[in-house]
This record gives sequence, structure tokens and C-alpha cells, in this order.
Amino acid sequence: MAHEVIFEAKHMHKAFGPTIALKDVDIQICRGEIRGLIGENGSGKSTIMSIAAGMQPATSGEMIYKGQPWHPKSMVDSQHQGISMILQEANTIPHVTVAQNLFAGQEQDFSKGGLINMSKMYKRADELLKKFGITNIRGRDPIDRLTFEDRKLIEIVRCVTDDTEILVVDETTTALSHEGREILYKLIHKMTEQDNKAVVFVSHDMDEILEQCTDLTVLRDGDIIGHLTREEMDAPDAVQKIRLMMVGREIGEKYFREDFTPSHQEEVALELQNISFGPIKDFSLQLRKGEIVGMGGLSGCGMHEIGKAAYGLEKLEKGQVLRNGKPIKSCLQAIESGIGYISKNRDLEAIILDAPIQTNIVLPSLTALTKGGFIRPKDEKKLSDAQIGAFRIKCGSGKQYVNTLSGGNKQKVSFAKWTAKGSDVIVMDCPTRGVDIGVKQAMYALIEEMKKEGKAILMISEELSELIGMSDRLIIMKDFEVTAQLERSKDLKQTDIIEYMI
Amino acid sequence: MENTAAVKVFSKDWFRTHGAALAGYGGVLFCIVFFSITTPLFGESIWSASKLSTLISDVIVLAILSVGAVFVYSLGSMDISIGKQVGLYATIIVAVTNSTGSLILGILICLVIAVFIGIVNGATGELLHIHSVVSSLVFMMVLGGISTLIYNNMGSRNVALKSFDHHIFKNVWLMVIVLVVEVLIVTFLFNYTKFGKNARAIGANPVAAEQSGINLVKYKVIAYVIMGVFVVVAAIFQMGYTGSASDSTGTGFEMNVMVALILGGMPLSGGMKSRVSCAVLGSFTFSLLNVGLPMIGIPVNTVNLIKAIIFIIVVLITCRKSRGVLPR
Amino acid sequence: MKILKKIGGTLMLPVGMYIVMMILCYANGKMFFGTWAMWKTLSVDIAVSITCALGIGLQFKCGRFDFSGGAIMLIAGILAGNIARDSGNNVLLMVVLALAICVVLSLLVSFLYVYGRLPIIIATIGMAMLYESITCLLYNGTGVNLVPNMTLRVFATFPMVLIPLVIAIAIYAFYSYFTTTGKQAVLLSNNQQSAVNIGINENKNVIISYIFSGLLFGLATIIWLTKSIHNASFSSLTTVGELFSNILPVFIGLMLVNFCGDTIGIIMGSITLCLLNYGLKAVFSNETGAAIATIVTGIFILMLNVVSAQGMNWIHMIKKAFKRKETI
Repeated sequence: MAHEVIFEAKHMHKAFGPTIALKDVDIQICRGEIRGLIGENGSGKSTIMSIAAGMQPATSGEMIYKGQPWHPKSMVDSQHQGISMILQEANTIPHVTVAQNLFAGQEQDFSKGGLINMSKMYKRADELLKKFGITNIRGRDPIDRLTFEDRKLIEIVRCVTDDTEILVVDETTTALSHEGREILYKLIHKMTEQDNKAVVFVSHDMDEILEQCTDLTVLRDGDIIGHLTREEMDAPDAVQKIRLMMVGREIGEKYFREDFTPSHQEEVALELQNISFGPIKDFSLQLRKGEIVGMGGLSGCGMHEIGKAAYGLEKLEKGQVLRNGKPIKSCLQAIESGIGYISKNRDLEAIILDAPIQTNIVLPSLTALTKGGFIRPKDEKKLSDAQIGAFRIKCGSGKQYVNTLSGGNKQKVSFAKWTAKGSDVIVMDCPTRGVDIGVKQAMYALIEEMKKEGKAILMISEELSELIGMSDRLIIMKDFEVTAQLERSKDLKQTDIIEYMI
Repeated sequence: MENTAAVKVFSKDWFRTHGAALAGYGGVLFCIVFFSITTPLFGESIWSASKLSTLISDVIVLAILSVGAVFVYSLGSMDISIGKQVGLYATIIVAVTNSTGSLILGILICLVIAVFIGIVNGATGELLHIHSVVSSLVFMMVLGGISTLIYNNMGSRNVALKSFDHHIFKNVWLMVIVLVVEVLIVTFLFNYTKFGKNARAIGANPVAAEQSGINLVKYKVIAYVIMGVFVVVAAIFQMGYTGSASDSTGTGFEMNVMVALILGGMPLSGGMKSRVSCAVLGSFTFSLLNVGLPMIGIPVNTVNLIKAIIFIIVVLITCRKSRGVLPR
Repeated sequence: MKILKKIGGTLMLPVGMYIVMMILCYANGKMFFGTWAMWKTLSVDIAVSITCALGIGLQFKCGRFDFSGGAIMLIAGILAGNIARDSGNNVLLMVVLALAICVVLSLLVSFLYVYGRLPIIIATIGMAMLYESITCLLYNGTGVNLVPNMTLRVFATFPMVLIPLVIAIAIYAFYSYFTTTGKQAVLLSNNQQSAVNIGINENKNVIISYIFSGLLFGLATIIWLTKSIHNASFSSLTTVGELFSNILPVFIGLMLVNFCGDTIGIIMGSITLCLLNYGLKAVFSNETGAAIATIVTGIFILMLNVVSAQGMNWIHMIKKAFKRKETI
């Protein structure tokens, strides 16, 4: 493996107003390596690479690329010179063609004096797709017809050219299907092993990083904490060590539940009876009090839709959702009967960012708070403060706006809505996504607490370790059908489950 | 880290959250101070009894409309049919009063129509998945056409109250009382009941509001109906001032409402920062400029120019989006 | 087969409207409908409608509601018309002034939006208010009246009206299909954040697009200015209402995008709208006809929006009903 340094950053400092994202960071990337960058939210791992890739300028510091000082003007400029970055959010542009997406920002290459030649663009697009081995997509295809995973593939194709020397993959794999991930892994291994390029892999996901990367750098709070070589990554206590470096303190042994026996009360809290809607046919589930039922699968398997159906958000063609014997046909009925729902698009659907914490927490409970036709502000505050205390939400007061909170505290607000309402059944979709390890630990403790109180929990998640660690019963779905139902046990391993998912 | 955050909350974030309110109050205060000082120099003080009553008469219709419109604007939508509604209601009230002698009957008919329009405006957006402004645009055109047809049918450009003594509606004290009562009612509904809270939640994030159990159709309809009722009240005063109504009554009122609300600091996208005070402050700023500027010798032609410049200055202070992509 | 479907979809609205109006007119004894004379008279109205709709549409496509077009046209019309007349009826001067003033005023609006970072509705309303107030000051608020001026009216008559019309259509098509700016504008309007991340310069794009829409409004002004009397705007935002009566062709243009592209779609929409106005005015009196036309236009807009929002759903439901019948 060659060790030529291709990129170096010295004394990188980045501040967003009062928030400091990077504090005097030095980093070196070498050819032929797949460098993992791991860290919590706010650690700076995405920031440093986004500066390298031209998305934003540093506040101070210098960068050296291929031996020359490096000052990219934009992402397109950076890409032309060899550093490309694939972003985490969906970065394709809808309602236009694949080719327009592939060459967005580079229209000058196809135009003379402001006049654009679209057929030239389509031809180049087809050539490019063929080179990547993508045979089912043409340049003229409207991008709206592509699946979510295929759209991510188009983003990857857009970023990687022959001139690419460094590819930065920023938390992209969660969006990809299994095949997409395989294409990506093949690509990065080819780039580093055969073409002597470099890849920087930014992620949260411990398992994936340990599997794919050759070296690992850990960041925390804008600083680099340490490096691990491949041997150190293969050591048996690597996960613990890395977690310690990421969080900065001993978080203790306890993470998920410590017991390994499935348990629940007798009474059925929520029942889905032979429900069919869209591509889902004849799905049944009984959720009992004091039980945590986990649902897992690849992102398109249908489990997210089941969650919505359980909350009355989907129009059922057949079957019904029953709570205490009564059918649930709308989410208002669901709420009134004691069901709560936390959407996986937390920032867009589960909470209102442009609103105070208090408003968010009391929102489902407004009817209950109405006494004699009006709502006393004192009652609202009491209800909200009780939750803020119980969840230890870090804020100045209940009047603070939610968009000023950290990811973990936002998640706490979305939980607090339902505990304030006193919901006995909670459907949570990806409850710890994007949340730091320390907060995750607190949430798992909270969920276990809720289980002990007799609440029924339906936990839908794309993180297998979380599902194995927390569920009493685990349901795996694939292509809108249930492929496995597994009971909680000490011997349950991720590898067993993956077979049912793919 | 949280403690420092709490301290910083007061400086820049505080301004960002309260900037709009600041501009709303600031605008009115500035006008009050400015005109208190300058108008006496040109003859009469703006606070003299006669000028004050001119001020109240000028502001009353706009203020009633704006306060009612707070509900709809907090949803993040707007109603551009308000002007034509006022015109139509004024016409109906005059016509019905002339033919039946009963003012109340005319008002009741208008209320029924207003509730109907409110229901349609509120419901069609959600149920048919079209932009809610579209249905109010349609009403604007339809009502405008109907109004013209009515006047063509009657053969004259305007109608006047024949038997009814409308001077009661010119009484300034009545205007003040009605306005105060309206502000109290709307403030109560807006801040202390779920009607207002849900409306603001819908404006802030309709998907999250829906998932928190808010029935979008129901609360949108309620917001529009509440506004509709006050449009009728405003029409009564509009008609009452002159005792007549014409084909062009109400033209441009919806734009005045929009300008008044913006001057008062109301966010056009609705949401949590909507306040009833925006409507009151903005309408008064608007009217103070209308009444005060001519008093200090500004020719009529130039009044609009100054209003426009002040509008632009106020919005640059309150609505500026400093970071990120261009606002929509 | 596909080509037939496309042509059918494109022509269905204007042809349909033509047939309906023809029946209406002939039934009422107005046999001049459909004659060459009608088309010559109508061509001016159609031209104004198309050019205005193109100007509105260029910004509307990018998600920008521009309220200022009418005010820009009014100032440009007053200045260009009066100056040209006072310089000895100089047609060339009128054309150059109209174009230049419209472009400059549009640029100012774009600067306020881009550098003031205000929401687009607020920015354009502010500029519309400013421009309208300026019209009250120009030439002492007398507006412009070139109706009796035969020399300068050259573009308001057939066939000269076709010159600015064709140029406007060419500019719009050129912008949308052949320029980098046009293509990048589409990317920006569909996913603003991504496009900006990739490195597309949003500010430059918006400013250039306003130069284009300024040119389009300039061409509209050339025709519109001499067509009838235009008064200065003394009450707020009257130009907005006038401008937005041309919004129907924009909606139609967007709806017909899949059939013939939005350029031809807007042309079809304008023809439909003008036929409607002409037919109704011919059958009923001028004002009654206009009123009914407004009502029908409003309902038309409603139907269009509902169909484009729900059309897919209805087609699915019909298909499903058929499938069930087949399986039985």
C-alpha cells in the first residue's frame, strides 16, 4: 500500500458564529487508503471534509493537495480538480432528466456562448452510466422514475470521474439498497487498491467502518482524538475503545437491555388484523402491554408504512387496526385512544422546529387541557415543565424554540409529546437516528423504563444492533412480507437476521 | 455549554425572535412621536378631537379586517377576495335595507354568505390538494363579476341607503368599542383556545400538526370563517360611513390588509410568530401615515411614495433572511 | 399516435372555447364572430395577454410570484409614451425607452430580492407600491393617453402587433430551452439547496432571469401602452389586479407542459382567454360581458387547478373500475 500523502490540512479552524465546529485540526490523507472518520454529531467529521471538497470555506487554516496550496471555489470546481464528495441528504434534483442531474453545474461544458446543446449532454451521460456498469438507466430518463436508491447511485456517478483522486463518502450508505452498497464498496476498493486513489469514509456506523476502512480517525467536539490502524481496528476491544474516544467519558457497560428473556403482559394493547394497503397484503400483529416489538428490514421493505398504519395514517383497503376492541381509522382517533407516533423524519414530521418546546409538548394534549372553553397558560406550562424535568431536556426554558436544541434534545421533545398525553402505546420509527451515543444510552434506558411501566412499544429501526438489544420480539420484513419472527435471546446474532432481510 | 447558550439567547437570537415585534411597535411609536411633534407646527395637532376622529374613521375598516385576517395569515395562507367580499356585503346590506327596511336581515344574509365562503376557502385547499390562495383568487373574480352584474342590472353605479339613518355608524365611540371588542375576542380565541394554537401549528408545519392530531380541514375552515364574520362587520362600517355602496367599494382592501399586517410584523408564512398585535399596530401605522402626512404639507401625490419607502425599510429590518439560500 | 394525442391536448382548449363562443354568438345574432375582422381586432388583445403572461410565467416557473410587473409596465408606459410624443412622435424612441425602462425597473426588483434577501412576495409588493407611487408624481399624475395618436399606435394594430409578439415568444423560448441560465433556473426551482450546494450561482441566475422578464414586459408595454388610456395608480396595488387577470394563460401553460411545452401552452391559454372575453362582450353589453367573463375565468382557474391536482387520481380510479369490470 503506497503511503504518499495526497492531501493535508493544517490548523483548520471553522466557526459558525459562536459555535466552533473545528478547533485547530491537522489531518493527512494518503493514497491507497480508505480512511474512516468517525465521531458524534458536532464532532466536525463532516465539516472538515466539506471544506476540503469546496462546499464551504474554512475560517482559518491551510490545505495542501497534491503538493500545492488548495483553495476550491465550489464543489464543482473541487470536483473538476479531483476531490469529490457525496452528501448525506438527497442531493438529486427532481422533475428533470438523469443527464441534467449528472452534469448539474457543468452546463458550460455543453454550451457555447450561453446556448446549450442537450443531445451532447445525453450522449455523454449514457457513456458515463455504461462505464459504471449501470445498464438500466439512460441519460434521457426523467429522474422521478428512479427509485430512491438508484437516485443515490446517480449522485455517486455524478461525483466520480477519472480525474477523481479523493472520494469523500459522507454518511451515504444508510440511503442505499443492498445492491447499491455493494456497488459503492466495490468502487472504493477498486479506487484504492487498483487506481491508487484515496477514499474518506465519514460515518456514524461502527460496524460498517470497521469492515470497510483501512485506517480510522476519531473526532470529538471539533478535535481529532486519535487514530487507529487496521490491526488496532481488528482487536477485540476496538468497539469499546472507539466509543470511549467518541464520547470522551466512560459510558458504562449498560447500553441496551441487560436481560435476555422476552416478557410482556397478557393484555393486548394494539392489534393489526389482516391489514392490506398498497403493496402490503394481509399483515397481522398483536402488541401486548409491557412489550417491545421490533421491526427490521431494508429501507423499502414496508415496515415504515406498517408504523403509519398502526397510527391511523394510512387508508386501509382490508382489515383493521384495533385498540381496546375499537377500530382506529384516523390519527386523531389513534391519539384519543392512547397511541403516540414518532415519525422517522423527525425534523419534518414529528416536531415543529419553528415553535417553542412547550408548544410542541402540549400540542396533542390541547383538547384535554381545555377547561370551560379555554386553556390556561399556567396549565400548559405545568404540563410542559414536568416533561422537561423528567427527560432532562437541556434548555433555558419551555419558551425556547426547538430548532436551537441539539439532535438528542429534539428527540426527547418528540418523546415528551406522548408521555405528556399519557399514551400507552407508542410507535417509534428510527428513534435514535442521528443521536449521539450518550443520548442513545439514555433513550434506551427510557424505553426500557416505559416497558416496565406497562406501555406497549412498536420500535421500527434500521439499526440491527438496536433491534436485537431492545426487542422482546423481532419481526423482519422483506418486500412487504414478514420473513421472520424471532424471540429475544442471548444467542441472536446480526448475521442470522440479515439473511431474512435480503 | 448550555449556560453560555442561555446567555447568548438574549443577544442575537432574541433579536431574531423578537425583531418583528420590535419593528411593529417601533413603527407605530415612531409615527406617534413624529406626528405629535410635527403636526402642530403645520396648524392642527393630529391629536385634536376632529383629527383624531378622522384617524379612527380611516383606520376602522382596515383594522377590523386585519385583526380578523390574523387567523388566516397565521395558517400561512392569505385571502385575496376580502376586498370584493366587502364590496358585495356593503351592496347587499344597502339593497336589502332599502327594500325591506331591516338592517339586521341584510347583515344576516351577508353572514351566511361569509360563512359559506369561509368553508369553501378553508376546505378546498386540503380536500382538493390545490393551493388555498387559488380558491380565494377564484372568489375574487367570481364575486367581482357578480357585483358588476348586480350594478348593471340596477342601472346605476352605486346605491345609497334611503330610509335608514346611518349616522350611528359614523360615531367614533362606536367604532372604538367595536374594535376593542373584536381585539379582545380574537386575542382570546387566538391565544387561549385551541383554535388559535392549532392554526399557528398548521402554519408552522402542517405535516407535524396533522401527526399531532390536528384535523387540518376543520381548523382551516374555522380560521376562514372567523375572518369572514369580521369581514361582514367591516363592511357594515364601510357602508355606514357614506351610507352607500358602489361597484368599486372595497377595491384593493386585501392588499391594504397585507401591507398593514407586514408593517405590523406579521410573518407571511404564518406560524408561531403570528400575533394579533401585528394587525392593530400595522393598521394604525398605515392610517397615521395616511392622515398625518397630508397634515404636514406633503402633497397627496407623494403620500403613497413615502408609504412605499417606509414599507420597504420596515421589511428590510424584519424579514431579512441573512443566511442560506434565497428565501421563497 | 402520440403526436395526435399531443396536438389534441394542445388545441383542445382554444378550439373548444372557439366553438362554444361561436354557438353563443350565432345564437344571439352576432355573426361577425370568427371573421377575419374579429381576428384582426382580437390580435392586439391576444398579443398583450401573451406577452404579459410570458413575463409573469418566466418568474412563476421558478416559483416566484412577481407582483411588480403591472407597475413596471405602467411607469414605462407613462414615461416612454409621453417622452416619445413630446419628441415629435418618435416611434423608435418609444420602443427603446419602453424596453430600457422595463429592464432597469425589473433589475431593481431583482436587486431588492437578491441583496435584501426578502421573501419574493414581500419584495415585489414593496417595489410595486414604490413604482405605483412614482406614477402619481410623473407628469403630475395624468398617466398616459396615446389612443388618438396614430403614429405611435403602430404596434397596437394588426399586422404590426405581430412584431413585438413574435419577438417576445422567441425570447421566452430561447431562455427556456437554449440558455444555460434557463436550464439552471429549472434546477434551482426544483431543489434549491442541492443546486446551490453543487455550486450554481443563485444570485446571478435570478438577476439574469429578471433581465429577460424585463424585456418581455417591455415588449408588452409597447403594445399595451397605446391601446387604451392608462391612469396613474392612486390607490394601492391596482396594477396587481390588472396584471393577474392574465394569470390564467400561465396556469394553462403549466398544465399543457407535457403536450406542447409551456411556451405554446401560454399562447393557447391566451387565445382561449381572449376568445372568451370577446365572445361574452359581443353577446352581452361590454360591461356585463366582461363581468361574466371574469366569473367564468375564475371558475376556469378553479377547474384547472383541481383537474391538474386530482386528474391522476381520477384516471387511476377510472382505470381500476374498468379493471374490475374486466375481471368479472
